[in-house]
Amino acid sequence: MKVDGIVWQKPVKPSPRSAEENLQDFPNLVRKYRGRVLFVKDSGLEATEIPVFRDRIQSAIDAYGWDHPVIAPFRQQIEETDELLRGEYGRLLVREMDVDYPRLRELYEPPPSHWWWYLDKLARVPDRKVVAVVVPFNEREIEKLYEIVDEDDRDNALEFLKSSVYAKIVT
Amino acid sequence: MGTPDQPSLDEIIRICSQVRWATRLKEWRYKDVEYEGEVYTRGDMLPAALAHLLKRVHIDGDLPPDTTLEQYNELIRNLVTSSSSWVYGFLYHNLHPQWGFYDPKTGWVAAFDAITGEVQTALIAGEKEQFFTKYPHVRLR
Repeated sequence: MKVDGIVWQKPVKPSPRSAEENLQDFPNLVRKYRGRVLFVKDSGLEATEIPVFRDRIQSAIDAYGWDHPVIAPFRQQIEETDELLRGEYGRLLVREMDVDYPRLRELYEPPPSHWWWYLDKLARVPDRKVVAVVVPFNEREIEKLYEIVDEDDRDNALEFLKSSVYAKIVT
Repeated sequence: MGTPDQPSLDEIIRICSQVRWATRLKEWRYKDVEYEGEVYTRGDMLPAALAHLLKRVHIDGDLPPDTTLEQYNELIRNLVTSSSSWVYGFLYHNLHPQWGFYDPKTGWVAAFDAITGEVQTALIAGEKEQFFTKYPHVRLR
């Protein structure tokens, strides 16, 4: 790659740290993750560390579980920070900090379950208010729901509910 | 770098060793913290250098609580001028040229805007040299 007469080397895919290392560093990782989220408007360079730190946190959680004595005390803080990142702060990050998520995803190859690499896509989802959540547990409940659906939509509604773990009804 | 359009390594080090911070203010968004007898609370607007120092002390925990701005700037200058530091040029999101310094002993990195020469971020220790190499980059030393 040649820009302004300089031959730039291609980005190098960072090597992941072991789950053990991430566990040892866990309190530090959580503090940095939270700090980078709270200060998203400060620095685009620092903001690109957010998914990296969140990956490391997840690596420890996946390997040792939420109940591990090092991890458990931080659960609430991680979940609160996740909520901020999924909401207002994530939108702020995408709107104002110009983080190139498609390029980062190409480099880090994160799984779809690691939503913190997909903030640009999440930001495109309309901010709708959830007014009800339908959770079909069994055939009887599905049948009850079937009864309240308009006649014209019954077949489609039943198929949808049978194949769903849950469905959000939004305005 | 080192072409007529690009500064030499010595010139990059000279510019960055000035440790120039942007003049814009940064909003403090963390718990109350104290610096030299002054308490800063959420929503306070701080000079960029002080905001970065307080983050490194109170969030990252990589600097002791009594670190002064003068000491912080001196640590950055030492990182820039140390002959053992690795020096990079890198393109932030393929567009914005930056200079980066990494000390393999401490793990600290600092990044500077290659256009303005201002500090972008300094003395963070999360990703080591990968902080730069995840972008198009060139190692200058």
